[in-house]
Amino acid sequence: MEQVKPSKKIIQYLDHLTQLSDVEQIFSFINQELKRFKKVRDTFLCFSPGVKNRCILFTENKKISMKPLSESWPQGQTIRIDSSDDSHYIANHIKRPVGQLLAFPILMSQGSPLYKLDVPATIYVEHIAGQSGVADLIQDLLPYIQPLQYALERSFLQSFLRGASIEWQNTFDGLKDPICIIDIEFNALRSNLGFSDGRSHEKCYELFSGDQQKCKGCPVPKVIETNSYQTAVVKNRGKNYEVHSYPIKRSKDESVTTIVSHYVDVSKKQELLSKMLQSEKLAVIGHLAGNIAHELNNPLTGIRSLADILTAEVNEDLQLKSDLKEVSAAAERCQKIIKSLMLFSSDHRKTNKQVVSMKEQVEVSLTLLKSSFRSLNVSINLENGDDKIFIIPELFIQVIYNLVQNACQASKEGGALYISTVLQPGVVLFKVKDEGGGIPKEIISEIFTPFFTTKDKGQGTGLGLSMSQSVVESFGGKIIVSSEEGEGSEFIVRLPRASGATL
Amino acid sequence: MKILVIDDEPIIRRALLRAFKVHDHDVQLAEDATVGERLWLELCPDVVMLDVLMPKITGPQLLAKMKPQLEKLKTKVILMSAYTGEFDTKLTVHKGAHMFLSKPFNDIFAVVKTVEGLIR
Repeated sequence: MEQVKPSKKIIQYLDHLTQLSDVEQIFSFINQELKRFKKVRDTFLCFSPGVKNRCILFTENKKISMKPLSESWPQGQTIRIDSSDDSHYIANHIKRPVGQLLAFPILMSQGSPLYKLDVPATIYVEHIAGQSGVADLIQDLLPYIQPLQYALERSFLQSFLRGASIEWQNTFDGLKDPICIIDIEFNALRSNLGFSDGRSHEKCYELFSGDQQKCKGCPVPKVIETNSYQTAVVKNRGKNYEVHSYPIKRSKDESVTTIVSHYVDVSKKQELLSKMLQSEKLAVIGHLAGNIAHELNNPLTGIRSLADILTAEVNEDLQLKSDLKEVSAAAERCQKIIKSLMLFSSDHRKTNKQVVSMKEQVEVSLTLLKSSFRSLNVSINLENGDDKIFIIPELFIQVIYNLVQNACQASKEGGALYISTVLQPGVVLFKVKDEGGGIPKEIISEIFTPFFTTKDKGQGTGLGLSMSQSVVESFGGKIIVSSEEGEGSEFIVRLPRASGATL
Repeated sequence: MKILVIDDEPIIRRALLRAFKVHDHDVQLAEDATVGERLWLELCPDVVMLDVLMPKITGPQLLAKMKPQLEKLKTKVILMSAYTGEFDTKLTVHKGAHMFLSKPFNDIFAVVKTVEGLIR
């Protein structure tokens, strides 16, 4: 070994060392190289790979072992010769007695955020050089040990970058919102799982929507054009996404090179908002209807009264008399509708429960539904008898209205609609049955959920059935649904008979 | 019997006029509270049929103003309104009126009979 020209040997050594990037490989190589010295018994490497942990590498049964270190090894920036601190430390950690030790601290570039310790690594050489030979041994070893700084620094940096990259991708994928980084040609450079299933190197729109052309409304062209943040709403697979696109520039003055787009699913938010607006609108319409009804009431009263007076004055034989009777009857019908409308739109919070006839409640409600019946074949069968129920009429009318209106909307043109009241021991039933499409099994449990609707946007609030159910339950009753897909649905309101109830 | 109808709705005034005329009552009409007040003091009617909701001065406002003189004038006041919730019978009496009629009238002839009954 000593016969070989040192310079040539060192060049070979360096050549090999530069090809290694893994710290275990580096240790294995240097361990093998240093053991060629007759005075060298063994080597150990203590190091701190990054900021988090410390390890020791040593050979055990001719194999490389790595152990974590809970505390730091003796620190110090100069070479230590046969320090008992070092010997104790190493012996404790590799669980065998060790002889004389040389400690070579390996320093790295200053200011690197990677290393928590002043001395990120120390290589220990167990030797038998004795006091007289140790200075020569150090001289012989230094050419081998000094280059280790660069090899280890490169290795640590690589593992740090690898870790950081994994951490970054995990964070990226952990975000549920789709995110994609693209170049100005719309090539996806990187995207998270929310955006695609990890594929890249395709156009972003291919990954996102599967289309061969840019998403409609995409804000990216404007980002490139204006060099500034843009946002827009883009539709994809039935969902609405608010896309926030940010330009990324290498320097302040350069034009945009990449664009980060963050997609926020706003479908639910928009749906909720439109439902809120719809129910708000309905409340206003209800109030308006009440006011209009009231305004119409006055002239109608006059029309009817006057028609009645004239009818009384006109000679029985005249055609005029029956004409006037028609006017009066029409005015009376209008009054009934208006009365129902006022009841329907009135503020029920001020009213109390009353004992009323189910049949009368249904009749009042139906006056509001005549126009919905126009294209249907409606049969009404209201049973006479003790059909008293203890309810708030203003609210109950809305329940009947909702159920019948739903049935009308579910029916096909010319379809049959059955409305009935039935008296049973202790209970009074209101039934409405249609022959429409029925309710699919998978959604029947959801129909009473607030805001659940199958109607088109703006057609229904999704509140009718949930409101009806809570109203009927507050009267001690319940709503029973039975539906067969393709056959139709039946809603039954079951209320306790109020024969025993007091006012 | 002398009757003054104060109501802003023309066809109501007309209907009441025709209904009472049949029974040979003397009917005067006012389209608002201002005219109503003047006719009231001028004609001293037996009955004033007073609408509750009228623009500018409402029925109850006019009634409050006339209340101190009601006894002297020997006038009976009937309040009329479609807002039955707000002006119920008790409130009517409290305001100084003698009767409350809710609109719409289902039977105009019954109204005539009721008013006649109030005077007798």
